[in-house]
Amino acid sequence: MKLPLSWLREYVRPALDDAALADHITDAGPAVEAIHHLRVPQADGNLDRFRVGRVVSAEQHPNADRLRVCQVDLAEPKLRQIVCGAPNVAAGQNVAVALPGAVLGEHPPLGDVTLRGVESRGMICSESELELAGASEGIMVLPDDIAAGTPVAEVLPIADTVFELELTSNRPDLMGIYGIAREVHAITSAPLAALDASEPEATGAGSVEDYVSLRVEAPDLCPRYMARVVTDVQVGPSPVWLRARLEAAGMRAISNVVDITNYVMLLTGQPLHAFDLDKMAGPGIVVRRAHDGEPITTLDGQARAMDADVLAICDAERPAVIAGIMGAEDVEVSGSTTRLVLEAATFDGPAVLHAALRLGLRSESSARFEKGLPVELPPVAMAIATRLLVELCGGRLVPGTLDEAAPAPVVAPVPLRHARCNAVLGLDIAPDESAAILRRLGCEVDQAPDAHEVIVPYTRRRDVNREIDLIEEVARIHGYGRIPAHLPRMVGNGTRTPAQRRVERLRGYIADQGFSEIVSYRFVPAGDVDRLRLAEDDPRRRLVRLANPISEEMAVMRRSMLPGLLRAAAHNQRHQRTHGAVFEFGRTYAPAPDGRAEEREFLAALVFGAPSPDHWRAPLANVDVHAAVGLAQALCSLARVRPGIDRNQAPYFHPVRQARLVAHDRIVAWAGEVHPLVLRNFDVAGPTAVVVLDLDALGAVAPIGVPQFEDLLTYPASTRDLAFVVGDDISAATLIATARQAGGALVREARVFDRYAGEQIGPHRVSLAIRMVIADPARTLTDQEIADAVTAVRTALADEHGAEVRA
Amino acid sequence: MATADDIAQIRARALADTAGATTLAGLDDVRVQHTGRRSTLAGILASIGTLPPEERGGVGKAANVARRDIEAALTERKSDLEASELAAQLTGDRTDVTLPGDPYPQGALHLLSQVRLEIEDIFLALGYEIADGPEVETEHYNFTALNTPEGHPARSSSDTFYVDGTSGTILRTQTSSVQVRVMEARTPPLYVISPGAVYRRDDVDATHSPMFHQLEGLAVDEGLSLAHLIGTLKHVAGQLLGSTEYRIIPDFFPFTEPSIQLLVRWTDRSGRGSWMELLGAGMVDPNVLRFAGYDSERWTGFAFGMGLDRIAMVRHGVPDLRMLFEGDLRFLDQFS
Repeated sequence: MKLPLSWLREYVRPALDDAALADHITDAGPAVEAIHHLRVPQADGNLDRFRVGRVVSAEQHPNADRLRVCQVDLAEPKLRQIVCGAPNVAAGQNVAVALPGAVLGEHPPLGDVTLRGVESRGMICSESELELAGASEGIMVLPDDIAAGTPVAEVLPIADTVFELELTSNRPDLMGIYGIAREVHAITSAPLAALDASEPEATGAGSVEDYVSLRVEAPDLCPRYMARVVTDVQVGPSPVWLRARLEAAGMRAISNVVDITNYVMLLTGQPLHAFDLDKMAGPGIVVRRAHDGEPITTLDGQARAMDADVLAICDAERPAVIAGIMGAEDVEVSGSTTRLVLEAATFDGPAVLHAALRLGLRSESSARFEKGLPVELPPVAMAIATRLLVELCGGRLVPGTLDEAAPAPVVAPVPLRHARCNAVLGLDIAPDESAAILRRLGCEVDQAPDAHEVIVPYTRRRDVNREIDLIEEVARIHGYGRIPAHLPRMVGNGTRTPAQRRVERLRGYIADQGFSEIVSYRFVPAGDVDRLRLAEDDPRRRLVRLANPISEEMAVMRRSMLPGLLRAAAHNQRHQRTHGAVFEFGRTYAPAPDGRAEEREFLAALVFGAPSPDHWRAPLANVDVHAAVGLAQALCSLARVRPGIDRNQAPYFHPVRQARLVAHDRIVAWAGEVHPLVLRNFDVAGPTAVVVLDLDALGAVAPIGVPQFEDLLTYPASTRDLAFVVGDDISAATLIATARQAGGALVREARVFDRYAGEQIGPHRVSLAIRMVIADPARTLTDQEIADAVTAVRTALADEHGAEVRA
Repeated sequence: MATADDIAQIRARALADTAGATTLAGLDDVRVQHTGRRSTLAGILASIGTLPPEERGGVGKAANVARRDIEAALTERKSDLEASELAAQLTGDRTDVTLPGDPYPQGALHLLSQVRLEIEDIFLALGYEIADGPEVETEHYNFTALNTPEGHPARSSSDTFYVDGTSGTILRTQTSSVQVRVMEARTPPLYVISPGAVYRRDDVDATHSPMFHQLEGLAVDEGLSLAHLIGTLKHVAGQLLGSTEYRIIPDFFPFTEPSIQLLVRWTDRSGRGSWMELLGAGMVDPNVLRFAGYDSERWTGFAFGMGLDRIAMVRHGVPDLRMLFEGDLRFLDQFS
């Protein structure tokens, strides 16, 4: 909302400079976002250099056809000689003169000049030079009754300061200058002038019913509709002061009639609409829902189709106005208009918003209606607007007003308990002060020892109708800066849950392994399921789809962590980072039966690209499935989970270079290399190593409680290494599982520590070296017991897998 | 027969040879020659028994003293030679120590994680817990229970993402939805924060994103007042930004009353000071408390919410919000 201070000061004049006023308003009311200075610069007494002058004589310039040499009375000891190029300058006129030293716009200060041999000591200004109009012909002629030498600023708004206010949606009352004036009054205590809403004399012929009738068919969308008729209107340009105010407030001047409706809207916050009575098809106004597809061509020249959710103001045949939003071209006030209907109405806020969104059309009017306006406001705006139509357009008000209104709501006083007010705010505000604050805000306050009874003005009732609302009003006007700051005395938990601690531990660990954390958009293109090579019947093709996405690139909620990582890799590879490691914590989303989503938490990590030598002696890191499995194991072990490793089959991984990690029959992680076709789909160059950790599953299998001591210290453990040759279709995990089972409790640890495939053992065979740690926490084992355990393992591996011990 | 002079000569020669040895091997030869079993000195000592008794004492003593002196000189010389051999050997181990050290991996937590963790820790220290909730949420938890009625502009499809094929399922627009769930599940007193991703239908540009991150806080207890809210916010601003200068201005949220905004004085890298909007807050609206089944006369509460993305940008001088979501390592690794 733009607030021209010149307009504000008509109603309230706090003794504050502009910056201090802006601070006061921001601290207690709407935030002042920006301060603009309009037209003639105000600094350094510049405004004093613009004076009203009377042209005493205007003679032809001796050396230039188009110039006049004027002698101008500026109430100075001598007449001032000014050369003027405007064709309309003439003796006897009052004009605006810029004296030498005056600054206009970005130009350098005016100086004394000589034009074609004649001295000129000033400039007679046009409207456009003073930025009162976009373009103008000739100089501006001022009324005759202004004394020569009067500062122009006293008679014309040649300079203004405009505050740009950021309004919150609960304050439509501040969408009118007078509402802001009341707010400034409440904040600063400076006196508030009354709003003159007196009615003009109705001198028109007959009565309003002779011209139009009114039928409101949709009172739910239109709680009040008022209409008046004004005849003998002369449409033309508005006076300078009116245009200046509109433009300072950010609206374009159009014609006196339209300008008056806009002016009154800006003043009161109540939008008005005027339309040409003679362009109406028949004299009846019908307020009804539009028909589906019903066309209207609005004032902006756009053809639009309405529907039954849109309220229309219609004549006998067709819609004349989209209620609260914009009128139709057909009935537009034009230069030939002489009789007009003036509408002041209340429309349902949400319905106007809905219609405006539906039609993609928002206006100054709809911006006000959509926040919900009070039914008490139209008569005020109607009175002011009709008076201006009479005064500025020569109109004659036809007696009578059509007014269809729902019964006025019953106004109940709202109690404000002093003790409650102070308890909520944490300070002591005297009842007299709270009463004074509320009165400045326009409330009627009935003071009693324990509580006020407060009647809220209709302009605020939508927002202020409970005790807590009154407490807020008292608090903000009293000043939030005056409220003390205390920490509550509290007894809280103050810790992360075990699951939260686990997540942060994992996050820190993986970052310390050289991975960089990314955050990617959770909405992805629907086509990602194809890019991931999911089969047609894969359940993971069922997605949480947005009904109103911003774009196709952000159309569905992600079902996999992979695309985000791959896109980050692609981005980096496009920017000369061929190798890197990234990870992300986040959720995936699958449709749930209740219409919501199953949200699962994952940690996913990706190493991409072949590392290139970048150190004089450090070996290159591996980027493959084994690197991925190792990382997955390390991450699991942070949660004290030691999963087994299985082969896996997922379409987005390399068909035979992927694994899953299983603990207590739950898959806690997947590890693998990304399928080359998937890499191509995401424009990533391999090799890759991926780990996806299912945090929910990991949490479910992670041991609860603290680890308990196990005696691995008192009695020695024996280590035995044996290499077995098996067919290369036997997995290491299978071999280890068999070894563990056969070795029993004494084999505390069994793992593959070396692997060989090659000529020495022949094709399709592999040698796996297994290290076994054999111990009993309760005693020292005999050599025989150790040998028996080893033999049991050897026998089992030979029987079940044909494993031969390699010499 | 050996005389005292002979022994003195033997001693002097042995000491000279010891001093003259330049290698450990040479020194060992000296040791064998002068103190070995076949040495002259050993012969003298072995033949003492054959001397007349009156001579035995003098010769024996002189020979033993000479042997002790020679052995002491050998030991000393040996340790000198060892020291210089080790020194020579170590000199050979010379390397260019200014070469880059072996690489140890160093990744980075995302700025959003760093800022979130820091803010979480501030609140944990105050006794708050951390709660979590769904991102695909119902209108009920995101709006209705937060005093935002049907038809409110925030609920329009131009502001809020709706899930296709559902009635009233949305992407949460605020972490405040977690407030409602916490209140529904528990009884006061409550001191809870909930960080997380939220979604609004904004186009992507330097300062807007359809997905961003908030951290919401909720306290419900007996006797909580606006002064406690302001005290809490002031504490957090001071801890997080080192800013002690703050300003509170009115704001509007459907679920708090009164509603405020906290601005803090922030000086950027170029030394320019300005008021930065840190967070929105307010006293929990009695309607919201009643919705949760709490007695709003007995319990009061406050809630606050801050944008983690914006705090990260302002604090770290990041000029464009999009950088947070691109995964560009040149960006991410600056904050390791």
